[in-house]
Amino acid sequence: MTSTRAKERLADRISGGLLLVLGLAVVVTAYGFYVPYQYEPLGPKAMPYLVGGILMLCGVRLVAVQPQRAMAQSRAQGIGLWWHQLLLMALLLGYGLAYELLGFVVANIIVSFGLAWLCGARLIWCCAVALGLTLAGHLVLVQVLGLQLPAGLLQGWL
Amino acid sequence: MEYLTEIFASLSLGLGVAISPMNLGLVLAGCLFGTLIGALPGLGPVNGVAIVLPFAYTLGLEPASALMLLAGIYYGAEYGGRISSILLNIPGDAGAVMTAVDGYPLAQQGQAGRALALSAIASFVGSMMALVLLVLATPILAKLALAFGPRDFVALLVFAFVCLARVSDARPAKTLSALALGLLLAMVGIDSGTGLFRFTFDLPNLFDGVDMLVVIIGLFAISEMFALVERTFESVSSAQVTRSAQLLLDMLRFRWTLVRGSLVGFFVGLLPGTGASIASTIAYGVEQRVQPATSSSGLSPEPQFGQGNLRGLLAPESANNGAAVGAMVPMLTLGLPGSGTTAVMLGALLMFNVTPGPLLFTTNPELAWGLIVSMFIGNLLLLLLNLPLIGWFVRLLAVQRYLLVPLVVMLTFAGVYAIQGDRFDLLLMVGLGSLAFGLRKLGFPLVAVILGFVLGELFEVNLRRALSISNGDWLALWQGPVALGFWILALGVAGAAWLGRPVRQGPG
Repeated sequence: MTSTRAKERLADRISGGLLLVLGLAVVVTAYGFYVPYQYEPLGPKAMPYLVGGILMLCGVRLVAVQPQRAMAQSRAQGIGLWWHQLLLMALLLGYGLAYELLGFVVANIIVSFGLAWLCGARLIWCCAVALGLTLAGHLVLVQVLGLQLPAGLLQGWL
Repeated sequence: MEYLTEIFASLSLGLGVAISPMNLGLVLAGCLFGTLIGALPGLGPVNGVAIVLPFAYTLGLEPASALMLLAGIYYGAEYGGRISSILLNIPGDAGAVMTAVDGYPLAQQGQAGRALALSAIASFVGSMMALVLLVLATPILAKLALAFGPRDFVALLVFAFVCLARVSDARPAKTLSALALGLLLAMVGIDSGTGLFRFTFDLPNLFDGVDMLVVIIGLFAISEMFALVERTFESVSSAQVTRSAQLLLDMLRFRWTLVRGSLVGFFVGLLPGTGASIASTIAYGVEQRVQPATSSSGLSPEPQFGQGNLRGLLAPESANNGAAVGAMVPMLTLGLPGSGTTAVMLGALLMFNVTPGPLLFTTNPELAWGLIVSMFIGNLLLLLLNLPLIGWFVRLLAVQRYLLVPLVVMLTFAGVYAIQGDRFDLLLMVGLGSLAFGLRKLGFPLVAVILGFVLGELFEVNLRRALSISNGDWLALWQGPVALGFWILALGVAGAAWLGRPVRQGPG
């Protein structure tokens, strides 16, 4: 329990530090806004100053003040299967990058296969999900609903 | 009397809109999809609305029809959330956490069928009671809100933000910083007052600001995928769903529990940023205090709370549905969402160029009253669907994660891409989803981020208007009875530490 609270405390300190930096960056950026003329008293800088100020204050509080008791949602949940998260992020970014280049069908087959594998499916199920889902997706989303999704490599075939 | 006549006239106007075959079909589809989404462990109403929103937009649905579909998903998911809570001890969504506390022990005692049927009726009663209150309260609130000036809106929004920070489970510093992150996201793009580019980093894609849909899906669909990949849950192999002949007797016996739960749900739902999870927790606590298990009704000894007490099942279930309806009231009348899902629906309204707020009832009464009537119809449909089709919904719980994750990813990517045909949106969505998952892990509430994002522009615009009217006099923000009232309320809520927080009990 103690180590859980210590981890939670460390996580709070790190996130507080990041918020402090972010708040400072917001204020500095807003300070640099060049406004040749404005028609109302507040102008475009006040809101960023306010938001940056809130971020910095909250950051300081998270770094400096330890909560008296654990809050329901801030229990340290551990990183868990962190490499799963990294792989998922890589897959999703790859999907986004390849969406136009490879096209919906090819990119979706590859990514669905990867996602199913990441979720622990056996190889045969990975193939079934990738092919079945993409086929169903193409039929429903493109043919029935008429969404404009990129054909990519299969341009001219679909 | 005149007031009631006016309400009936408005309801008949809404009925005309809601019973068109297209809208009835959309309500039914929303309810079915919502129940399914709510039942699936990990996915809740906000995820369901986020996934369907781009399709509703791309397919060119009328704003009223789109809103009926989304609302159907919202309250359908509140019905569905109870299924996995009771059968698996895994709440389908946050609002169903308290349902598991007594629902799961009931299922373990072989009373799954009774628990599912009773909780469906409790959901129905909670929704219907809250809807009647909504019908009675909404026109009055809308008329009052018509007199709101910019400074009143500023004070109201400050009150909303303070409420959010006080009632959230997370540390207030985390809730406030999450809110500030939402406000920061809302500032990205060209400043409407001066034409200045703020936080765009010279990226043309950001000149118009961050797309509402990208933020919604990134926060609530993509981040959920990270959580789903991490989580492991067992699937249901068989569920003993039986019918109970005692149903009517049970409902009569626990009628006051249902009334209490519904009222708590509705009024908690009205508060900005609260939603179903807090309402159900409070309703459970109220039920424990009002009538402890040992000194109950006298008909027969009832189990302790947490060990299969029916009141412990019915109170949170009626409350979370009451809250879902209650959260609609400030959204429709003030343009101020009462929960995370209504924040997303508010975003949907803005996407469809409909301005929510008091004028909605005068400029677009068909939409407002059509939506309200559709909610009556939808809840009736849900009750009819949930009693006979419960076995079918239960079987859907067996859906494997390796199918669910690729399916949601495919739908969200297709939905977002179809809006503008730009892969930048996809990458931004993944970036925001990853950030949102990190925030969740660190205990920052995402509902605060979305509320900040949706309300950010409204706050800034009204602050600027108020100060323009007062020639830069900040003291003017505190003048006027409405503004002053909200400031006092905000101070009261901020200082009400003595009220304490409800103690949360996890399932099992």
